[in-house]
Amino acid sequence: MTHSVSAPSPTGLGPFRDITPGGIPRRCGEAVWSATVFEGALYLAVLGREIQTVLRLEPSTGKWETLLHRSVSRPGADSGEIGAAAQFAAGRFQEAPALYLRIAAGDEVEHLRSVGGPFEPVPSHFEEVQAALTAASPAAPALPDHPPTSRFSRALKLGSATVVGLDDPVLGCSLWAKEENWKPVLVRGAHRYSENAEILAAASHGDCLFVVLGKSASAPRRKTPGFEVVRVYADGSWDLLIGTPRVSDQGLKVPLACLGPGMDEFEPSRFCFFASGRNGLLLGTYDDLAGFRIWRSVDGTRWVAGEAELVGIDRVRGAESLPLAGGIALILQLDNPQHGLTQSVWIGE
Amino acid sequence: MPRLVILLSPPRSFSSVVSTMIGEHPDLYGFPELHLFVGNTLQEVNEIEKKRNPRHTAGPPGLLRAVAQLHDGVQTNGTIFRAMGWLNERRDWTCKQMMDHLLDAVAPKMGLEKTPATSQRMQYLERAYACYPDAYFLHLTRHPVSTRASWSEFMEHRTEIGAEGGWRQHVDRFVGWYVIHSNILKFTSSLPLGQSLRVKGEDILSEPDVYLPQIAEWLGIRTDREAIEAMKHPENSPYACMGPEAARWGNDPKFMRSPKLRSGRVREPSLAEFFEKEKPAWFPEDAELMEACRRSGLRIAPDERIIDEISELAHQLGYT
Repeated sequence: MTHSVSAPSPTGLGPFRDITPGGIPRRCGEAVWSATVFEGALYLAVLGREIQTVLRLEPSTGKWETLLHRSVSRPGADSGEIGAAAQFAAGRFQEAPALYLRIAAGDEVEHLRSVGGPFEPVPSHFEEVQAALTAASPAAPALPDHPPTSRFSRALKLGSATVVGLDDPVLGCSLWAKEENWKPVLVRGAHRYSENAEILAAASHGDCLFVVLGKSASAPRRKTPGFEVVRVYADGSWDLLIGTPRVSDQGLKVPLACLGPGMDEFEPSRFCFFASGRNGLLLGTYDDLAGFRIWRSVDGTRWVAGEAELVGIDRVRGAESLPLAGGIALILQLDNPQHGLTQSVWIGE
Repeated sequence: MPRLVILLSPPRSFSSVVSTMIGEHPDLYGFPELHLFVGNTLQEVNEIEKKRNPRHTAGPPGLLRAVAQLHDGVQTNGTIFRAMGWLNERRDWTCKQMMDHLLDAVAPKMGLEKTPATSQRMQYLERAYACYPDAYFLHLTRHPVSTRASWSEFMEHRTEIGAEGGWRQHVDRFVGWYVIHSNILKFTSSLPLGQSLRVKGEDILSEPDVYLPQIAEWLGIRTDREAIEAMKHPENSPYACMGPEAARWGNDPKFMRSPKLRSGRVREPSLAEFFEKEKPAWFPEDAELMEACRRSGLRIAPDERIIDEISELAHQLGYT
């Protein structure tokens, strides 16, 4: 079964367009969404109360293909939370690339596998399943001397080195690189301390790693400070691109993009997503005055917001970006006064 | 080019030694504590100073010393008395007129002013900004536990010399540290990008060769070796010593008695360990304070909340 890509929304995101497939629940309370990119294609799992669907978007054709569509019925599952979770994991089956999907609903856990075609159930005790899921959620490595308040955030690549990001609500986040031994690359939230408690996003571009630092909005009492962006080089040096000027052990750091935290807005813009595309970097922000904006930059030192992105878009509550062969997919959560919180898929570059 | 740098910090935050160090840069002139932004006019400044310390009847000692030094080139009882007379004749001057006069006297150097009292109220900070909207603001921090210990010691000394502080002097110094840094953060967050810079006093004193050039770079002044070397000699300032009998103060007494920069790393204590060992009495059992709270509909927060707030702010400033 295939769906044609829907026509661009009249309130579209400039070069980004809404390609949400039809026939799936979009309201947040009605389905759990999970998305991944595998072998250059976008996979979307939608777990509804009655229907579970997995769709694949082939960027070259712009068409959605259905890889799973089945009815589910669980007693008492007609109200409240969906109570299900989906996790994709890339692996191999008989030497071929395979995509695994773990669906957890209540106490039941099911594993499915696709080797380029429909998803089929697979026994969960298969080693290949466990290996794929473990690789998709790497455990924190044992770093020397890292403080007890730190917790593993993500694993990244900086040139040939593996880089591990740690979040820390007390000291601020840090990045550690492993060549022969682990060594700190960025420490103490790159000296903005607890205001940069978390690594919100990171993307490699050129020879550098671009990292978005900040604090999620859940922090109590104090106003959430705006996010910052730094550029890290393979030799461990770094530039501040967006943020507050500061002294550091590497000398005075001033924002090379001449933008303060949160894109230098009086009420700092909220971070939505960050991605590296074919033509440079993309940064999604939201604020009540300007709405949702996608900023583009070649190297992080000059950012331009797309004009059409200012018009008519609903409030953006959340955004996840996924790199596709032909651009970038955005999974957006939109807050529309008429329809409530809905999810949609956008594609562009 | 801005004519003024204003250093903002709570009391007992290394502000005397740091401001004097920075003020020794060849392109800067470091003033002692002028107390000019606490009032609209010199008359108001004098009255507030008199309340702060009844012995200071002729104005803030730092202001007297600066006027004596800049008018007569020397601070003696005679030049201080002349400064008193000169200031008395100009008691209707605004604080800006007075500051402008001092800045004219040190031109073409930029002036550097540090008065911890400026940060005690938003009103004072706003006044400083209204007078000098293009000034640079340097936010200096120190670990809350060290600040508290030093501040308490200093207040004991003030009580010994007969200065009055009312019930406020019995409020735990953590609260003062918290309020003043919150004021400074609120104020600096409203400034354009780059007009303020925050720096830990411990970092400057531990690694002056790393941090002093960065401050000079931020101010757009020389960063060569000679300039940085001059900054490492605060003892060369005319205000790095006790003043004559008629105006002895104007900087931290400890600094004025021993103004040389000491080498070595400045230790940062642990806030968490401190709170494990000690339970501060945040506010004095004072009828006047309780009545003021009752009238304003205020309640004093539980201990845990106060500790959380102080810890959170400490983490924001880079202290654990």
